[in-house]
Formats: sequence, C-alpha cells, structure tokens
Amino acid sequence: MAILQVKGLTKEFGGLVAVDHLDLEMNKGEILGLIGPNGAGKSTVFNVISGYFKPSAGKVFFKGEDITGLRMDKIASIGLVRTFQHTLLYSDLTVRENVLAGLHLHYKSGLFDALFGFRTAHKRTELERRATELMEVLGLATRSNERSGDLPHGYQRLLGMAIALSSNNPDMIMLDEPVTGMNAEETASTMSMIRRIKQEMGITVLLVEHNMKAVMELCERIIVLNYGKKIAEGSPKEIRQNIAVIEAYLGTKANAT
Amino acid sequence: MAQIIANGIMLSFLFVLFALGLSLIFGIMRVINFAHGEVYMLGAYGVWLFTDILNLNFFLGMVISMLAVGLLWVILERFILKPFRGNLLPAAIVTLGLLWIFQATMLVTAGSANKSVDFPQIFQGTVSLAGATLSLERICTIVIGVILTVALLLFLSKAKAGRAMRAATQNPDAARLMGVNIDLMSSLAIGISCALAAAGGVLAGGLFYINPYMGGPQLLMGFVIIIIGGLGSIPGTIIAAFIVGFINSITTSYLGSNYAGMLVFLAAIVVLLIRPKGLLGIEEM
Amino acid sequence: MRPVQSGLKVITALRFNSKLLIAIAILILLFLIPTFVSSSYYLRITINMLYMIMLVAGFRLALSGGVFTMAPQVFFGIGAYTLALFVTRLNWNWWLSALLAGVFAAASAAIIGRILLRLKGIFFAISTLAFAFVLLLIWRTFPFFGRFSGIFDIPAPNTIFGLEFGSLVSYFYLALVLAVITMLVMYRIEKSRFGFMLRCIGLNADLARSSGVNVMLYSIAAFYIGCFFAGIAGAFFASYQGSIQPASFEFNVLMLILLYAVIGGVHSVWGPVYGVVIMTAITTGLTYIPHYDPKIGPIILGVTLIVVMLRFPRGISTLLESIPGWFRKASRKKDNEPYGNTSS
Repeated sequence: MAILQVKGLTKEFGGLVAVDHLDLEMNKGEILGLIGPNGAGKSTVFNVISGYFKPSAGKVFFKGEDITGLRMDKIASIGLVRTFQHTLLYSDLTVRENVLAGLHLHYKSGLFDALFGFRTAHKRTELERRATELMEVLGLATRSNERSGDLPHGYQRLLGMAIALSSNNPDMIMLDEPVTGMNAEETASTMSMIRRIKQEMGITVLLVEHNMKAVMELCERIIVLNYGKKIAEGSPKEIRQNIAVIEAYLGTKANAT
Repeated sequence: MAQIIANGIMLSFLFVLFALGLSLIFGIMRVINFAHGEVYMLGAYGVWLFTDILNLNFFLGMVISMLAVGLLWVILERFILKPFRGNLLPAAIVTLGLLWIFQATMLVTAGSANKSVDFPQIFQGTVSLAGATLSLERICTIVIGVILTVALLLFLSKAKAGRAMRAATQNPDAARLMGVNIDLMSSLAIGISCALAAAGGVLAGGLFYINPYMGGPQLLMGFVIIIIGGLGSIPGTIIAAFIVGFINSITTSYLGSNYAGMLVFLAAIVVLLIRPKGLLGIEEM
Repeated sequence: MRPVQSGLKVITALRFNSKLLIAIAILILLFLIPTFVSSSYYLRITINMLYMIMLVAGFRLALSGGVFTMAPQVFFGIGAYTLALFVTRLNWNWWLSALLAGVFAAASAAIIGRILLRLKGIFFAISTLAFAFVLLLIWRTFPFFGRFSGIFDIPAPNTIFGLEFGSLVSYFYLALVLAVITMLVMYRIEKSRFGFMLRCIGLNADLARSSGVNVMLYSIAAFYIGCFFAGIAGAFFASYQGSIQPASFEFNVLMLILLYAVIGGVHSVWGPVYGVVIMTAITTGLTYIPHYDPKIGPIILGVTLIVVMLRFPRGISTLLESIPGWFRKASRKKDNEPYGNTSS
C-alpha cells in the first residue's frame, strides 16, 4: 500500500525547471533516500511535497488523499511532517519549550481556550508528561532548560527531529539532510535514531542527504535525481553499480573544478 | 505643454537621484534609511557652504559636497549601521536617531531661515524651445541628472563591483558564497546612494531653497516611489520616480501643489491594488 | 483529583505571592499619583504616556506574531474618529462608542489584512504605509471628517457608576484604567498558550507551520487585538483632546511608536512600558537643564537612541529584566511555568 504517491511533479522558478515530471512512490514503513548532485532538485521536491512550495504541475497523494498545493500546516496535521536543515529550531527558546511547541497538534482547543486557558490545566500536565518522555528518549532531559540555540549541533538536529516527531502521531517524516556536517559518532547515533523511528514507531522515512555512506547503509531504496529528473531508482546495491548515476556525479565533479 | 514636460523631467530626475539611493541601501543592507531626507539636506547645505562661504565654483562645490556626504555616511555605516544589517527594526530606529541628530544640528548651526545658492552666471537665463521658455538652470539639472543616472546604471551593469552589488541585492547569501565582500559592497552602496542624494540636494538647493526641513517631504515621496516601483528594483525605482515626478508636475500646473501629494498617494494605492509588490518588486523577502 | 488540584493551586499561588504583592503595590502607587502630583503639566505628561503605552503594546503584540505594520497611528486615528463621530453626530453614549471605536479599528485591520496580508514582510509593511497615506488623505479631503480642521467639541465620557468625567484628574484615572487593562490582557496573552505559539511564530514561522500551526490565524488574531487597543486608545484621545485633526495621526506618531517599542524591547511584554517611560523621562528631564535650548533636544535623543541600540539591540528590557537575576544568582529556581518567560 503506497503511503506516498507523487505523479508528474513539476516545479518551475521563473524560466528554470527545478523538478521535471517526477514520479515517486513510497510504501508504508520504508526508508527512502533521495540523492543527486547539487542543484538536482532534491530540496525542491522535498519542499513541494511538504507544502512549502506549490507545484507548477503534478499531484501528490498521501495516504490516498490528494494533498497537492495544501498548506504546510494542513499537511502536517494529516500526518506528514518534516525537519529543516537550517533554521531548524526556536533557537531562543529552551529545549523543553521547543518540544512543547512541537506538541501543538495534541492541543486541540479553540482560540478562546488558547487565550484564556481556563479548562486546560490537566491537559497541560499531560503535555508536560509527554514532553518529558520525549526528552528522555532523546537523551536531552538533563538539558531541558538550556537555550536550544546553544546546544551542540548534533543535539540541535536531534531536537529538530523531536519537534517533528512530537506532532500528532505522524505517519511519515521527511528529513532534510539529517547527517550533513556531522562527525562519525554523531552520524552513527543519528542513523540509529532514524532506524528506531522506522522500527519502533512504524514511521515511513524520506530523506535527502549528501553523505553517501549513510544513505547506502540506512536506506532500503534510493532514488537519484539529476536536473530535476529521476535518473535511477533501486536498492543501494543497484544504485552503486548504476552507470548513469556514476556519470551524473562524476560529471558534476568535473564541472565543479 | 512643453513647460510641464520639462518640469516633469526635471522633478523626476531629482526624485530619481533620491530614490535610487533609498532603493540601493535597502537592496544591499535590507535597511530602510529614514535619514535619507537628511542626506539630501546635507548635500544642499554642503554646496551652500562651499559656494557661498568658500566661494568655490558651483559644480566644484557640488562634487565636493557629494564626496563629503558620501564619505560621512560610509563612516557612519561602518560604525553605526553595520551591527544592524538585515535587522530591519533596530536599524530603522538608528536611522531615525540620525535623522534627529542631523536635522537638529543644522537647525542650530544654520538656522531655519531659507538659504539658497545659485547656478553659475552662464546658467542664469532662459532658452526658447518648442514654444516654451525653459530656464537654463533646469536644463542643466536635467543634464546632470541624466549623467549621474546613466553613470550609475553603467556601473551596475558593466563594472565588476557594480555587478557584484547587483548580485548582493538579489541574494546576499549566494553572493557571499561566491566571494563577494559584503562589507565592501555595503560601503560602496551607501557611499554611492548618499552621494546621489546629496547631488539631488545640491540641485534642489540651486533651483529652490535650502532649509533644515527640506528632507522630510522628499523622504515621503521617496517612500511612495519605492511603493510604486517595488523595493530593491533599480529600473522600477526609476520608472516610479518619473511617474511621481510627472504627477507632481502636471497637478501643480493645473491644480496647485497642494493636490500633488494626494494624487501621488492615490497612484500608489492604485498600483498596490493591482501589483502589491510594486511595478517591478523583487521576488524574495 | 480535585483536592490535589486545588492543593497544587494554593501552593503555586503562595509561590507567586511576592510577585502579586509587588504588582498590587505598584497599582496602588499608580492610583495615588494625582494625590502627590498636582501640577497639570506632569499629569498631562503621564496621561500621554498611558495612551502611548496602549498604542505601543498593541503594535508590539502584532509584531511578536510576525505582523509588522507601519499603520498603528491610523488605527489610533480610526478609533478617534469613530468615537468623535458617534458621540458628536449621533449623540451615542460615550462608553458604547469607545467600545465601537475599538471594534471598528479591529474591523479595519481585518479588511486591510484580507487585502494586504498575502504580501510578505517588508512589502506588507510598506503597503500598510500606503494604507496610512490613504486614510489621512480621506480624513483631509472629505467634509464628513471635517477635512483639515477635523472634529471639534468632543465631549467627555458620560457619567457612569456615579463617576463624573471632564476634569484632568478624571481623564488620568480613565487613562490609567485603560492602560492597566491593556497591559493585563497583554500579560495574560503572554502567559497563555496563544502567546507561546505567537512567540514561536515570531521566532521561526516555518517551523511552526511544520508542526501544524496555522500561522496566519495566530498572526491575524494578534494583529486584530493590537488594533482593537489602538482604537480604544484613539477613543480616549479624542475626548481627552476635545478635538482631533488628521495632523495628529501622521508619520511622526509612527516614529514615536517604533522608537518606544524598540527601545523598550519588542521581545518583552513590558517593553512598551519601559520604552515609553524611559524616553519620556529623558525628554522631560532634559527640560530641567539650565539654559536648555529645546532645539538641541533631538540631538541628545538621537545620540541616546543610537547608544542604547548599540549596547542593547534587543531593548532596555534585556537590562531591566536581568536585574532579578542578580538577586537570585545563588538559588537555583526551578522553572515552573510551562510556557516559560522567555521574555529577554
């Protein structure tokens, strides 16, 4: 059962075609990697699916529903969440406040309640409990009152993931370069966290990443983009051997120097 | 008729010189310079100082005034505005402070009485063209306006520094990654912007009068021009300046100057309703 | 569940007792001001501060939700004109008209928001400036609004609960009550979930969206509330001044509002108070300098402004609100407030 279906997705900026008639499918519970040279359109695909951009053409279906062109917050409330590569936290707020912000979707009250919060005292303690739980799972409980912007970068990324995961039982999470710029140790622990997300929470994972080693180890399936088009799709082993992929990467490397 | 057109062109160039600077400053530093009217005013007082007190030639005085004001603001930018680059609100407040400082300083030192300077003797006189009498002063203003504007446009499109500046306006982050020195760009931008505004002030001083409050109305017009032309767009600013200049010229001739302001604002609203980003406003932000 | 809950409530209430006591003490002092300030000059200055606080607080609320407008001065004006028109032309009750003034201001915010909020950031701000121009134009042109001379003979509020209005002191108390209510509402919002989400949106709107927050809804609500209070302040202003002209709602008022907001600190709910009080204190204080030439006032202000901004880019609130921290350096205070007091 395909949890995510992308058909003929196209996105243009001015005259530039960033994504060119992309078709993509994801099955529930799998980990899919989206790779490609710089400028291949990976981020754009990411941003269109999550609702940050509206596509120029094509459709996106999530859990069978048409989510094409929906607002980002609407998509998140349906169960498709994402992380950000930069601007990933509320830097000025504490770790705890960041997690609480992420729990927003659990807090289903109207504006009046939000303003005057009379009936919601016990809901608040419930949220507190969840927040504490999440922080413990991530190993951030001891730093809950620290300013999140002051955390080491690896922890910030972790927190970013926590924020995305804390919304109302997401079915799928999109990770924007989760291990880019991390050292070996941080990469390993993030990767194991991603595996846990899939195995323990049953959440489908789509990730965009440049770190080839991580992608090959983590993903069950990989899609390669170049110039906005899909040029290869398959298991890590298949992709490793795929000539078109190698050419695309070599070609870009040669041009870059 | 020709009178109105000539007036329109002249006013437009005065606005162009002023508004281009405003636009450039915003484009590079994402800062709205509320003190830009005072730059204009300082330029006017500058030429008065050099011409009336030091008895220099008008054009020499103009060049020195432009350089002096430009340099002053480069220094100001480096020490006072730099910490606030990209931080719109605090930067705006700082420029507000500068506005007060400059305006009050000139009020105290030069007094509130109108001063004026004159164009050199050769330019006192008129010429008949297409059935209208045009003062040589105005023609001279237009010529100078054209020269400066064209110089700027050439700089932005041909010179390496100029192209770098345009890149920095479009996308500061990308520009930085490509090796553009943002500090240098900012200094250049503010220096050029303020020199241009000062030039406008000099010309206005020659044509009209000089007093500490002359910057205010100009700033207001500057904002309207930016609203119409679109933030950060050079061609948009020029076109908008012409629109505003001509509206001013036409309404002043037929209805009197009181209504000029109103019509300009109305034009701004109309433009905003059709194209909320202004005629040629930049995509991002 | 009930006994434990109420027990917890009592304990937390006791913990906040010191804060509550201080707040009550300050309130009492404020209400007693007219008894030790008899000079009408200072009373007027204080009244001025009070309605400015309302304006700045409203502006700051919208700003904290990501809505930066350059039109608070005309929402102020809308409130003023609404009250003036309803009371002088239709002879309506003052209190009803004042409420209506706030509602009209908020409604105008709704209308203008509908049209302009599709624009982002600075474009939106500049377009609100255009809106301000238009409104001023309308007020100056149409006889209905009294053109340049505006509206005259605006009466004082009707007698209510046996209290008569018209004297300077009565206006002081009215302004005080209005300002206190405004700040109380702002404070409650700050502590509420709504206020928390607003702060998040102000810090990182995209992140909020990805957590399912309908950012537009929150921002708009903040904008409307801010304009409501601007309208109420306008209504007060109309009666207090007795007459209103378009000139009272121009660009310079916007500059002042921006000034107070930024100097006080836009990230703090008390920022408006700090900003208004400190800047007014400075401007008034200057007049005490012997042989003071008022013309150099702006120079001193400008320099102060720049110095303050360089040293405290986030406003004086960063300085003032860290003072309690100096006293609590030793003890480790457990942060008991769910939505934090990240007002820095």
